Amino acid sequence: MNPDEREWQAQEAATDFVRSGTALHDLDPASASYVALVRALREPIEVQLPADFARRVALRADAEASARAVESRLEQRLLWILGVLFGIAALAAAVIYGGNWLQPSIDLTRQLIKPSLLLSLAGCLAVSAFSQQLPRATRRDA
Amino acid sequence: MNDSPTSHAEDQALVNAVLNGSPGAFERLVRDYQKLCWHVIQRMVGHVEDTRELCQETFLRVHQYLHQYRNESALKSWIAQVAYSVAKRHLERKRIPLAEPDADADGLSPLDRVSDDFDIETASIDNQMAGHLHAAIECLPPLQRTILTLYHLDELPIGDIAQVTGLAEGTIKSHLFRSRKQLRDALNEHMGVAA
Repeated sequence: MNPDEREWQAQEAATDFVRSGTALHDLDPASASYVALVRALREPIEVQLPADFARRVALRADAEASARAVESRLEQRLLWILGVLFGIAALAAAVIYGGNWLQPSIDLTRQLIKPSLLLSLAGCLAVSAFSQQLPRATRRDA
Repeated sequence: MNDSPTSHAEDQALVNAVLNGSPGAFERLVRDYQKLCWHVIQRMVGHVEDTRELCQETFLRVHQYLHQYRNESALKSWIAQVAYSVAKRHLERKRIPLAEPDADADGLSPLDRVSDDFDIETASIDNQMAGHLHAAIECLPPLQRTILTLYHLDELPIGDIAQVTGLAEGTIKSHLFRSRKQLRDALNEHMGVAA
């Protein structure tokens, strides 16, 4: 056992001694030299909080939670309104400008979707799905 | 801490009660853990008014994020972790170092930094020793003070202190070892001089 290890054991022995309250003569001098320090470290610290601290904090926490709930509901409503407005705008754009871009878009899609491209896409998806499953299976085996 | 729930089942029951909005549940949680919270923050910050405010902030955060508590660790450790992070952020804002990079840079031991306003004439040797020890503990950097208190006063295991502070268990042991040795050596030296 090196000197630091011995010193650590002495510190821990003094800690156990103070916690359990066994007789001081059971301790070796190295451990006994830490007893006063350990006792000082275990002396209670005065908690300077008001007597009704818990009640006041609980009331404030409730109030803040209610405010957060109201805020969250408002956010959800605003998001919903925004979604509806976006949908209306998209519909209006489709009605007004639809003729200009609908047919060219269909033609472009037809050109892009070729059997070889679809095959490549399916291959990519399969590799991706396999690479996600592999670590899970390895963990299960382990 | 004798006044805190100790088993994970009790912890989970209390957490469920708070999350279900049972009347008085959160107040009971605060009462059970306010002493621990005070220990962590007071040792880190060392200022009574700031500690009061930060204790309140800690429990408001606990209330807000309690749904994230997983029963894998004791509630005591989880709350201590919240208190520690609140106090740490406060010290960072005030640019107060958490742990001095080189504690012995000034060549002074913690007891050397204690001001000599202690009344040696009227104090007994024991009182004198205890008084200087407490003053020396106050002179340690915030991290060391907090680790010593969590280990000796709150009796948190080293693994839990590592979880609270986000440091490795070896680092916690090293801080404990060096702080205790430094304080003991300084005390021996001081009492030798006094005698």
